[in-house]
Order: sequence, then C-alpha cells, then structure tokens
Amino acid sequence: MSTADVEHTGLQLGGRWRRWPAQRWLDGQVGALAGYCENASIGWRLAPLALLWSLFVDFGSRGRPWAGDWVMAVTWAGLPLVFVAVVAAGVAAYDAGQSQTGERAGVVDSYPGRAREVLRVWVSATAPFVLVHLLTVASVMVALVADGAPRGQLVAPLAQQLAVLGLATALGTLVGVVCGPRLGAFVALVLAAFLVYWRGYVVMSEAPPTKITAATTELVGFKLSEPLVAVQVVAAAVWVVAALALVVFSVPDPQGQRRPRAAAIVLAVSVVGATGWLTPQVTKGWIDPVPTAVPRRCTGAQVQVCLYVGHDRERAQVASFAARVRATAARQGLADLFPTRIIERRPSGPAAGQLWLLPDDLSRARVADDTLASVMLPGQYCAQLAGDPITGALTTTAGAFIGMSVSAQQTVKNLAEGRSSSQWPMSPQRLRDYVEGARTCDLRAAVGGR
Amino acid sequence: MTSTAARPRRRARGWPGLGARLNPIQSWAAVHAGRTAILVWIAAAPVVVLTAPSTLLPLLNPTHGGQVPTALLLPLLGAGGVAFAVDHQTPLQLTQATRRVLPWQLGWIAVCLVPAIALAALAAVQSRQITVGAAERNLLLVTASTLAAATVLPAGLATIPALGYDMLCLTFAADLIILGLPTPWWAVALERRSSPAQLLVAVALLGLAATLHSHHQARRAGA
Repeated sequence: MSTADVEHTGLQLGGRWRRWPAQRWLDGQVGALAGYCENASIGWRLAPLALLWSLFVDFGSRGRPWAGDWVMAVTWAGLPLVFVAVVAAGVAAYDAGQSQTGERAGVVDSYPGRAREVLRVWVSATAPFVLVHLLTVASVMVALVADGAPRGQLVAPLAQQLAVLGLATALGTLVGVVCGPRLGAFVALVLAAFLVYWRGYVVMSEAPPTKITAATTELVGFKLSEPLVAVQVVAAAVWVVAALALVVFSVPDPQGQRRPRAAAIVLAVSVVGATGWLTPQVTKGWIDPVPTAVPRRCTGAQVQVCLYVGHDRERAQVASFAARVRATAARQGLADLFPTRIIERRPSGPAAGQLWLLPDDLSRARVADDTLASVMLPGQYCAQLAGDPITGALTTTAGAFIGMSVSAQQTVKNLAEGRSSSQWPMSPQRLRDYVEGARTCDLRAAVGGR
Repeated sequence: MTSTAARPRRRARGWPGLGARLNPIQSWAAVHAGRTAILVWIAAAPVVVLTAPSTLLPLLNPTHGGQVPTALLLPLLGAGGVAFAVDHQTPLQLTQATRRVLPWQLGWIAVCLVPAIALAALAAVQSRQITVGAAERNLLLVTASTLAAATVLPAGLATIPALGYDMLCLTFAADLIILGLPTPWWAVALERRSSPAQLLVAVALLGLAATLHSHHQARRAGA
C-alpha cells in the first residue's frame, strides 16, 4: 500500500479534503505513518482508559510511596504496564488480524506483505500506548519536581518499559495474523498476561527480555544498571524482530489465515530461545548501588537524623520519635542507651542507629512505630542472628534474644509515649543489660545469661 | 440438469416432530462464533488444570510473601469463550420462531454459560484453595463485565474490563487481605469462599449485563 493510497483513503473517509500548507508538509513517509497510526488502530479508543488506569495506579496508591524518590518513582511508573501492555497486545492482534482479513478496507486495503507495511501495523498499534506511557511518566516527573526530589535516572527505566510495550505489541501482531482478529485478540491477551506477569513482573533476581522493574520499595541510593538494561532492551528488540519477521515470512493458508514458513519458525524459535536463556544469565543483579550515595543531610539538635533527600518527608517523624525516647530515657537515667545519630542504611557503631525504611513504611506515608523502635536498639545485625528461625538453625540464646528484642521494642515505644517504667514490659536494669549486650553482639549477656 | 420440482424433498434433520424447532436453533447457532468459543474452552481446559494449583503475588506489595490463588482469576478464560459464543458473526435472517430475539438471546447465553461454569468448577477442584462457589461467583462477575463490554468492544477484546478488574484487585487489595485486613467490598473476587448473598448479587449483575447485551444484539439484528 503506497503513501498515496493512504492519503486517498483519508480523502474518502474524511469527506472534504483541503490541502493546507501544514498538510502538504506532512506529505511523505512521516505524514503517511501518522495518518496510518491515527486510523489503523482500535488502540486510540482504549488509550484514554489506559491513561486513566495508569494515573490511578501511580497516584492512587496508598500514600504515594515513591514521593521524593526519583528512581523508585520512574520505575514504579512501569507498574501500570502489567495491565496496559497486555491490553496493547490484544489491540495489536485485533489490528493485525483486521488488516489481514480486509475488515479495514478503508485504511488497509489488503494484507501488508512487505516488511515496511508490517512495521506500520506494529507501529500503529504501539503508538497509542507509547503515548499513554510517556504521559504517565511525564506526570510522575512533574510530581517529583514538585516534591523537590533530586534528579535521578530516567533513560534506563523508560527504555526498559518501552521495550516491554513494544514486545507485547509485536507478540500481538504475530498472534493476530496467525489466529485472526477475534480469536487472536483474546489469545494475545492471555499470552501477554502470562509473559508480562510471570516473566516480567514477578521475576526478581534477573532481567529477562520481558522484565519490568516496577519498584515497590525504596531505591534511594540505587539505580538500574545501564549496561544490563541495555542487554535486556537489545534482547527484547531481537524478540520483536523475530515476531515481525515471522509475520513477513508467512504464507496464506486455505482457511484465509496466514502461517509463518517452517524455516522462519525454526529460526525464530532458536533465536528467541537462545536470547531468552542467555539474557537472565547475563542480567543477574541489575540494580546497582550508587557509590557516592551517603545521606549527607543531617538535622536535629538532641538526636541527629541523617536521611537521603528523597526521604525528607519521613525526617520529622523519625526525629520526633527519637527525641521523645531520649527525653523520657534521660528522666530514668537511661539516656546513654540510645543513639545520638540515626543514619539511613549505614551501620555506624553503637552510638548511631541504622534506619532502613520498609515498603509498608513508605506505602502508608508514615513510618511504623516498630521500625522506629528498632532503629533505637542495636543488635539486629549480629552474625548469630543470620540463621532461619523456622528451620531451627538458631541457637537457643539467639532465639531468646529475638524474643527479648520484641519486649525491648515495646519498651522503646512506651518511652516514646512518655510512660513511666512501671508500665514497661522490661525493668530499666533489664533494658540496660539487653542494650549493652546487644551493642557488642554478646547475646548471652543481652538475655541475662540464659 | 434436474428440475427443482423433480428433486425429492429432504427430510428435516433431527428427531421427528422436532425439526421445526431445531432448525431455528441451528440457524441461531450458525450465526454465532460457536467454533471459536468451543476452541477457547477446549484450549482453556489444560491451562486451567496446569495453572489452578499455582498462586500469584500481590502487585503493589510483593514482599509480603503471601499469595493469591490463580484459580480465582481463571474463570476469565471461560468468560472469554462466552464472549465469542454470543457474538453475532453475520446479520441475522430471522425466522418466525426467532422474531423475539431477547428470550432467544438470554437462553443462548444460559446455554453458553454451561462450559464456562464447568471450567470454573474444574479450576476450583484442581486448585483446592478456593471453593467451587467462589470460582462460580467470579465467573458470573467477569462474564457480566465481558457481556457488557461486548456491546462496545469486539468479542476478542471484551474481556479487557474483567482483566482490569482482576488487576485492580491484585494491585490494591491482595496485600491487605494477605495481611489479615478485611477485604474491601469491591475486591470480593479475591475471597476464597462465597456467600449466598454474593452469588445472588453476581447473578443479578449477570442478568443485567445479559439483558443489555441482548438488547444491543437485537438492535444490530434489526428486530
């Protein structure tokens, strides 16, 4: 189908066709492709709903946990793709199937056999959802700028997300051509749901070509590894080429569908299998710590709180809790038991508490008191506690220590609430023994010689 | 060349006396994508058997480790088949018996639900994590959504709203349920057991959607 045909179709569909200078400028390939994208895909009808869904998932979650955390926010923006990419696959299958059966006679007069035409079908099905995704990411970035979040990584997460989207529509295009528009759309939805969920979202330790890094936990101080994401994107591109090549090298069958040639199937399966096996091997550990990322901004008089800038909104709560604990402890003569500095994610000796914000803390936009209480207590990272309590690998002493740490945390919460020692689950002396033992990882001393 | 008058008249197929009744049924069935639906149901059966025992992680908070039975989401496959089975492929040339399209259409939907109900039951039995009632409740809900969507979307894409609903539950409700918090009213599809009230509401929703769909099809058929 030529460029002129597309324009002629526009003339027929649109009624009067007046050629303005801007339209003349659009003559040629770009204009033809734009017109094709606009007319050839049912995706434009679903795009507004997909955008609403994406914004709802990104902004409607409990407490906007990504606020201020650039890398987490941009990767979180990939979460709606778990559904949107699946819809895009179904739409691509429907479009490709219809382009084959002649049901889009006004737009695509016959099945596009040449590679360029197959590309057009794929691009036109992908375009609405790429636009939706870019708008979603842009709105998340506007929110980040409004939060005052320091600028972070953008290209790698975005490339990963767009690669998965393109892969889903390529799969849909192939399925639509083979199965037809009706059955193909449904089959593509099911297949894409499997690929995107089981081989894209749930996979944690590696990055297969379908991987979406939709971070639901903090990523301050981390970034996606650009070389490994590049490997993943290249592998996804190979899969896209393989799927579209199968469409190009297909022949019509007696039922009116098209079947890829046997040689093309063998070649495509080999390439897809090889890249599908190799990519996860190469991309293990695709999240890198940022070397210079030490929380430098420390505030507070009684207790210094050093958090990453991305977690500024938690700062006041952490500082207030620590100050209250120390104030009550001072009245009991226990002030020396608690840290004067709290540093995010950096073990720093007995005088400093280590804070690691958990997904729940971020999801609720309020750090749990249990998390804060554990910051004030040493000993969580003692080597003796590395066993699995369920399998019984821990020693009796370590088990007793874990049990006692629950009482100690409750005591710290009571301190924060300003309660007197008669209401604590541990006596002041017992608390002192516990903390002093835990500081040196002498668990036996911490649990009172048991 | 033989004349039409000389050709012996073929007897109506079917049982004696039922031919006049069966022919409208056959003609009704012929204009729907029945073969595609049967293909979907047959292909779905092994998928259900294989995947029903598995579980899914909640999307928003996968670190919780608790999981959602896949069997709760599998009725979507049966509903996809129903969407094809009730989709008019060609304009209806209505016979006298099928003039009243609405009862025909509702009856047809009821017939087409049978394989989907069987698939949902199979998912529940195979899974052993949910009750048959819960699977059937979810089937009724997603079929209602699919039939309503089929009035504006092609049959192949009509399951998108149901898929969206399942994703919504998996994103915003699954981790709450795993943590032992009460199920939000709108995420009823994640409950492993069903109550009579839930089934009643699901049946009512399906009835509403089926009527909407039937009116739409009747209008398309020009009846």
